[in-house]
Amino acid sequence: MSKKVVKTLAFVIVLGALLLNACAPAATPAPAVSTQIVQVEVTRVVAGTPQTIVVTAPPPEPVKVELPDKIIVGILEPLTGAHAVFGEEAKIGIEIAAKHINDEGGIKSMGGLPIELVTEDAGEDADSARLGAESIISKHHPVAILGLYISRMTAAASEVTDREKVILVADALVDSVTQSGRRYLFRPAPKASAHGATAVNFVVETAKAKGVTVSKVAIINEDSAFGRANTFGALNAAINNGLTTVYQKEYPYDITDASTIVNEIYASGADFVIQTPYFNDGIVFAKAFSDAKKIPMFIAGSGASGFTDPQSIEALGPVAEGYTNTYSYNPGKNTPQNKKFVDEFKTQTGHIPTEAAGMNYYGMWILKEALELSGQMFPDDPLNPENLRSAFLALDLTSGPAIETYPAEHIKFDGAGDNPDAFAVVLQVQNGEPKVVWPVADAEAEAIFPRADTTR
Amino acid sequence: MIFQTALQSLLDGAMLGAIYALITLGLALVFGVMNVVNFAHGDFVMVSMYATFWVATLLAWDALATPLITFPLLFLIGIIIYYTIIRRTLRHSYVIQIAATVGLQYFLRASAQVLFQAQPKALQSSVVQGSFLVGNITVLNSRLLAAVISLVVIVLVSIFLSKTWPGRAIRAASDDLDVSSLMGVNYQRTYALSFGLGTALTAIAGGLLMTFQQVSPVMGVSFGLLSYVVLAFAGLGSTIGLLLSGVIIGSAETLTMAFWDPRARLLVIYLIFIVVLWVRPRGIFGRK
Repeated sequence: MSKKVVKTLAFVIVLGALLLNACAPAATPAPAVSTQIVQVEVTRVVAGTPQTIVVTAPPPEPVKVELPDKIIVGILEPLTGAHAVFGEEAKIGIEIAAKHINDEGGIKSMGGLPIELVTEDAGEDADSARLGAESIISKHHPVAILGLYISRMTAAASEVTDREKVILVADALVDSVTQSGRRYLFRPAPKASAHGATAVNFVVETAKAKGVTVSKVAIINEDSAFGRANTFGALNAAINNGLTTVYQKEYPYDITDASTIVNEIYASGADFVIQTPYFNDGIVFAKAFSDAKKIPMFIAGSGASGFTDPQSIEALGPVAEGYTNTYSYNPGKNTPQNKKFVDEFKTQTGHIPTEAAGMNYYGMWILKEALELSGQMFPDDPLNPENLRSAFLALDLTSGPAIETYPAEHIKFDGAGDNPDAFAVVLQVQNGEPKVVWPVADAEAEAIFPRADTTR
Repeated sequence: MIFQTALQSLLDGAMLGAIYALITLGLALVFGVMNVVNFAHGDFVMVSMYATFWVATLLAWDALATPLITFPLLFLIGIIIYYTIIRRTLRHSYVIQIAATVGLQYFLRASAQVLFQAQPKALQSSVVQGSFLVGNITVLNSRLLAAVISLVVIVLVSIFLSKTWPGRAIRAASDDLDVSSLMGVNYQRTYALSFGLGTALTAIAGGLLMTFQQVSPVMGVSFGLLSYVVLAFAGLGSTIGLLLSGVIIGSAETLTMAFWDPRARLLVIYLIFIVVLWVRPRGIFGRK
């Protein structure tokens, strides 16, 4: 072969390689496995006559993407500002889950890779959340992020995680979080509207069981999308249960004096109140009801924030007695994994896990299950965002640590990223302790109904 | 029914407004005497509420008794902050003063967040819990007592400013610093006293607020903004005007919540703020 031919062939090969490389999608590894035989038609001219021959090439070797020595998972929660109380709890829940996962051998389908957590503060508004998402992704390149508890912050950060193809295991409850077509967002917990409906259904069923008639309801919420979504569910449930909504109002979550609204609620003749507080407002309202001695038959919280969490119970003391709230996590679930989590959380913090902690504990375990499945389904490239997303969608859990700490008995995500089988439980403060009282099948204690201190 | 609601709202607002006036009194002292707009004033209220919480919890005192310790404590903190931060900004432009007090605001807020882990704290009980009825109107014990104590403190401060030598020195420095200096008033000490007293007054407000509220690291902002509005409405130089302004702002807040929308309460308050600045920039009751 002449030097000229060799040079030409070398040039063609190099050019072809460059072209192939340019056509490949950026940062996307080659397909994992291909079994197709490649056939190429080549036309050449021999003695002035064109001839076509078929060259058969062997199938390309499967390209196995080298795995890192650890799997980086991001914690993006509000750790400063008005919502830090939730973010701090969520972070502890994730850290305990990661420790449990690593203690049990990491991600086994990937050779026991350990989870390494990286943390970023999401601040207290949408802008800081977006910046936090950009920062944690650019600095650490996590395969998934858990966060951000506050729905408007989740919506903002999910723009970034979707653009960067990073899985976001969300702990925000507003219905619309999963309704904006985010591909890489999964929310294991029940929606906010389901919480509102749960609060109403719990009161109606409990009243019926206790032989008490309730027909008029007052529904109030702090004026965020979260409060509104809870109220939407509560209003629908009130209609479905034949109740009359005699009072409905939204208020700012930083309200400093609730006596005006408390007086109005009592004057409306409502038998019971459904309230979606954040945290501070729950304390302000509970104290105002108690101080004014204008207490309806029942006051049920919706959406898990306030009333039944350890901080609210500590702040309210005896005033907290009888208050309920809906929870996306069942701290009383009688399973070994849940007991292990509750015990460890109590050792660290001195109190049982709040909803934020519980949601993120099982959120981390669900991520672990998805990673395991991705390792089995796509052994050559399990951390590819598309593969991990496919694993999330293929998850169908009915047992294991995730289920043992999850309020329902089935985890399977729909195309929007929600689990249609998710439901909330109801906790009630009894003798200074939050107890699961509904659904009755999961109850740790019987619900106290109506309130012992009602003035109605 | 509407009349009853209006009466109830007016009463609630008036009682709340008296506490607003007490909070604003500290701001007015600092601004009136030193010409320094203290953006950290609301956060001093937050610090006082935390101090109230810890004193009440550790000593098993009622919140109402805690100013016996928190008042001198906050006075001391005020004096230290004056000599370390505020004094250095006095001869500089407004921008430097604003930067210093805004920085102080964030410092206090972040410190509270680090120390108290963002978890709101409230006292479980107070001797003034509960309420009584006057006709169909509910009077909350905690609000009534808070209003009465605020009124008494405002009168006492007014007497201090008009009848005592240090009080007269503060007023003299407020009216004309150069002339008062020529008359033997040590302006540095007078400024330090004003800043210390302005800060210490938040201790009493903090004690009263903790009888019916909780405290969190981020709540100082709302108290700060409210006190600016009350001060702008009242103007400088009239303690009675301050009290009336607090009552008017408090009543506007509760009436808005009852008859319009709780979310509109700040809208109405700031609308009042803008109108007063537009119509009477020195405030309704201001003498300078």
